[in-house]
Amino acid sequence: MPLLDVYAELGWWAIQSRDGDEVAVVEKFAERYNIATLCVASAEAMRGDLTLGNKRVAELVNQNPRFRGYVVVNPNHLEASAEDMKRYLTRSNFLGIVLPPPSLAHPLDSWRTLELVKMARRYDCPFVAFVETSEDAQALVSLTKSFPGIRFLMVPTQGSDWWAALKIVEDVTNISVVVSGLLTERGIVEQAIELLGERRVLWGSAMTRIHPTRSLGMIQEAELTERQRNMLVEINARHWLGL
Amino acid sequence: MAGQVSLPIVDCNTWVGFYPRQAIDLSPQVLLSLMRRYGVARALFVHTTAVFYDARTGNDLAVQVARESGGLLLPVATLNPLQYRGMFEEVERRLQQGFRLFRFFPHWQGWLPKIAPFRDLAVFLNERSVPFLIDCPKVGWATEIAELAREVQIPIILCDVSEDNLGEVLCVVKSVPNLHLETSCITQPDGFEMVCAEVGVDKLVFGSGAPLHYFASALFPLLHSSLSEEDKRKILVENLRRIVQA
Repeated sequence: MPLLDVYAELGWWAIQSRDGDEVAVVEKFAERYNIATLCVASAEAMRGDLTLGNKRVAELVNQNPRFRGYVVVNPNHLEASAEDMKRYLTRSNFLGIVLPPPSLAHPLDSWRTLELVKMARRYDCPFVAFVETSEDAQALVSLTKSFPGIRFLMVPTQGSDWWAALKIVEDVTNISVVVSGLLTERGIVEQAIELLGERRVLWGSAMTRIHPTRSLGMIQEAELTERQRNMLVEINARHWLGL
Repeated sequence: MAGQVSLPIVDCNTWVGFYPRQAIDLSPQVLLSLMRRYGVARALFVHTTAVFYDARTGNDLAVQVARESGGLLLPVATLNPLQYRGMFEEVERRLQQGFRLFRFFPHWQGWLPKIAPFRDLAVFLNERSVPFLIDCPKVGWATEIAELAREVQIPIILCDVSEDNLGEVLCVVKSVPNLHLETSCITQPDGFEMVCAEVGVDKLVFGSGAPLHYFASALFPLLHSSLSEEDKRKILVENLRRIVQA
């Protein structure tokens, strides 16, 4: 079955990645692992130049129908973020917004983040939010209470108390969880499905920061039914991202 | 995606016991079932009790688990150098029981690699030709451990390295002959190729962190790398064998 990757990054994060054409690398992996659709955000926009990074993603998704884009926003640059949302979120090949990890910007329930989400309401699109601690999950729940109509894709990262994060969002039905190579502790896939239900768990490779075999290995190893596995790697993403 | 692999595997980084920080099943049964699934011949494990509670109690439990596994699980002893008193006696006792490796956990136990008791412990192990593994997730620690490694001859394997300090680790592993790197930090096939090119394939030892982490997450990036079968074999089994036999 062709896979739908709900979170990949265009750009280089790690010293393990070689210099070169990251798009070619991602495309090579997409072919090799049968990933039909990749939803990408710009690593450059997250850590460096917001506008330039988002522009590069726009160029990529314009040229290659395999890719769909996220607009990265930066709570420290509300105006520039608003401009990029306006510029890209009306295009059919962009599907959502990525909030930078709280350690790079601000807590998910901060005034700045709330302002950003308010600005984005008109676009009716999902947000990707990184959770580095269980406090981040609590902050995400606070944020969603102010915006019950908005879908949030929560991405737990290595070192976070993911079980607490899952419990905190368990009953918040507009939050789904993305299992990815960013957190490989055993049990997260099975526990996410047990706590949130099989419709609220999605798969993201976290390429190019992490190689897709990390997360595909997790999904292969996890004790899941075939139906759960299919929902995880493709079906749920269509619903949550409106594809 | 690959399942069981044809290459022999010995995993130097596994766990058994109760994990106090998350509800993850680290029972010997789970570890043995993963080993069967992926064709792991032997797993070197530490008992969580030895790391998080009391080294002597945990090392005793490790002996028991190893015995019950029929030789598939090989115990690695650990100590907390902050407890200092009785430390050397505990080392002697474990060596008499047949332990061949020690592993240390400064980040879990709240000490730094540069503290004096750990230096004394490393010298003591060196006098008895016992190699050890040490977790090294923090920036600056690899440099401290490298200074210690230059004073001894025994092989030292750096484990649990993070993305943040991998560059520092490569720098010291490259320049200090008796430093080695456990591979669970290498998340990319390209990463294996790059690390081998930087420090040499003989310096790498396969470890998964299972059952705390999904085993496949550690194995698949290596299998999907373009390293030769011979190099993969070195990483998966031969380098560790050489270190332990030395």
